[in-house]
Amino acid sequence: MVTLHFRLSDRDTIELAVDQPEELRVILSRCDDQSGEKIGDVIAIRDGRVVPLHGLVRDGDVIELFPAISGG
Amino acid sequence: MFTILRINTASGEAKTERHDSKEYLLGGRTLSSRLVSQEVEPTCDPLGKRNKLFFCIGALAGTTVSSSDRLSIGGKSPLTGGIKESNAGGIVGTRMAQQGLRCITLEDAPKQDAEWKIAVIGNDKAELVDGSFLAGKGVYEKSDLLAEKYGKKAGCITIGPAAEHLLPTSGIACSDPHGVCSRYAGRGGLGAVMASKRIIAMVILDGGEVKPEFADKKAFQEGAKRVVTLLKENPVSSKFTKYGTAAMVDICQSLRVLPTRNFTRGTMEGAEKINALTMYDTIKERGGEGRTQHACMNPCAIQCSNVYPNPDGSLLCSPIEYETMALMGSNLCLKNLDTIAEMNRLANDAGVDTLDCGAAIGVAMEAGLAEFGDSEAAIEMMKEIRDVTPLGRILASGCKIAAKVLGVRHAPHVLGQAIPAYEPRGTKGMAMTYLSSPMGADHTFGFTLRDEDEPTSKEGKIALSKKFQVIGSRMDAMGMCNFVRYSVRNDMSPLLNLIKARYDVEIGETEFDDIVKETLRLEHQFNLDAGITAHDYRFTETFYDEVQDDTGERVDITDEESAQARQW
Repeated sequence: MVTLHFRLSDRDTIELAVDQPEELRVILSRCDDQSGEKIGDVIAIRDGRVVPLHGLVRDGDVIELFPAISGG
Repeated sequence: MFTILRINTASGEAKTERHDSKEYLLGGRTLSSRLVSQEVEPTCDPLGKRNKLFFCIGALAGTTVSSSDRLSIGGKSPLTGGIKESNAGGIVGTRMAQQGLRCITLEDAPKQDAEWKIAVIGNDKAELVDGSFLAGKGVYEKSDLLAEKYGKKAGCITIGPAAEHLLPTSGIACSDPHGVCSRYAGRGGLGAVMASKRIIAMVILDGGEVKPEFADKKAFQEGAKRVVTLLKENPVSSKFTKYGTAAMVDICQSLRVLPTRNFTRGTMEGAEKINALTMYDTIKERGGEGRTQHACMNPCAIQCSNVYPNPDGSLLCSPIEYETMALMGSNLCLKNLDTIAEMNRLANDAGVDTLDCGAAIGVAMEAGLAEFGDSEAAIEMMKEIRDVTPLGRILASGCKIAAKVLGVRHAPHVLGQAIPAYEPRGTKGMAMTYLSSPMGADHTFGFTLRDEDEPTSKEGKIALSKKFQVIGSRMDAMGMCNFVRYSVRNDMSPLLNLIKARYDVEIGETEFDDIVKETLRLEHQFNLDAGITAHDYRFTETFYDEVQDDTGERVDITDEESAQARQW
């Protein structure tokens, strides 16, 4: 399972089964399909490092997803 | 035609000029930086009579377009020694538009023992009147006195005690929609420049009768609605509405770039005690005057500001931004929002920049003047700044000078301006931006963090920083709030169409970006002419030599690479 924690969001946590490594963009698309709404731009972080949209997500990964915003 | 009002602060003479160029049409930073470049001798003393202070509004100010009334203030900075543009929200831009003014300039300077004056502008005249009753008072009291004398709807600009003493982190406070001078053009010490001209306040009276004219009113109205729709539909700007910039605490903690312990760490244990959710819940729980969303100007569809209350619901501070929560919170290992809010309030009252003073207090803690995490000591240091004590003056001179006086090598700054709330060893894109800004370390200049695939690598960061230097500078270039950029970053036509509908002047996207880049060229040229060289665009050596423990990274950007990022 891949665990996706949506921070600062109305979504909470989603777990998805992943048989083979998949790109993050595919995983996010599956999240959109599951919840029926688009997530928008996010910053995805795994173990303190950014996961790019083309980065591979593997079984057991825990990823935090934040809205892609900036400071003021 | 656009009007500039020039006030000679030595003679009291005021005169207006009319101009009809695209730089005056766009206003904002496009105009303020050009005027500084054209009229200020780069080698002049920033606190002398040869410096000037320009207050400019943007192309859409005074209309119904959301978030379009930012006030851009330009001059030579006493903090960096280079050019400075600092901008603020509030109602001053609206009042200037209603008085038919694109720019107000404070020129020359009287003798330094001259009486304090207030520049009062409106009803077809501008005059300098006695301002001595404001001297020595904090910004909140000054704000009350100005509102009492000129009305809460007047657009007021004032400075704090730190500026009166010409300290280089002093900002300029502008009145918000409630008539309180709480919206700061905080960075670069422009408050001290205003004080050097013995102007303690400037008031743009309510009641100006200039109404915006439109080449195509229907198209303009539809365009203004379109901007609101874009802001509301954009998931990023809509997120600001709920949490404001405070949302960055968790993001930076997760990325290990949350400035902690005088920028020696990138995470703080217990950061959740000062994050957006805690602030949101605290404000909701306390109620009273507290507001989780609040507009700093009208109209604004984003409303990212907030009002943080005391436990009894009375106002403690407004607003509290992420950068302050980091520089006056995690950077000092403080884990209490009430402490941060109290420090922010004291900074607002002293009239100083929260980032520069937070960084200076971090340096003071590293020097052993207090323990990291000591809330009471941190508040006491802010009181020293507000009371302009000898220690307060050192801290309000910024972290570069404080570090020299206190014997600390690890001073977080570029060109003397404190690094904002993104630890640069963990985000090489932001590091590149800090090293590229003509304003000194500045996060709004080119915010790369959300678009860095690999923040700890410098690969590709010259191009990335330059891309966002343009995107970020577009909003400044026409006096828009920086947070509008999310909605137009890939398509500026909604804003450029509004300019067309208002002025019947067509500015294409390429031409607009060329104007933005030309502004950057002029700003860098001013700094070069002022004597700032490539070797000055550096962090202190400790950032290059010492690993930041949470990321295991050093700054590895060379002078040649940062020079490329400044090349336009």
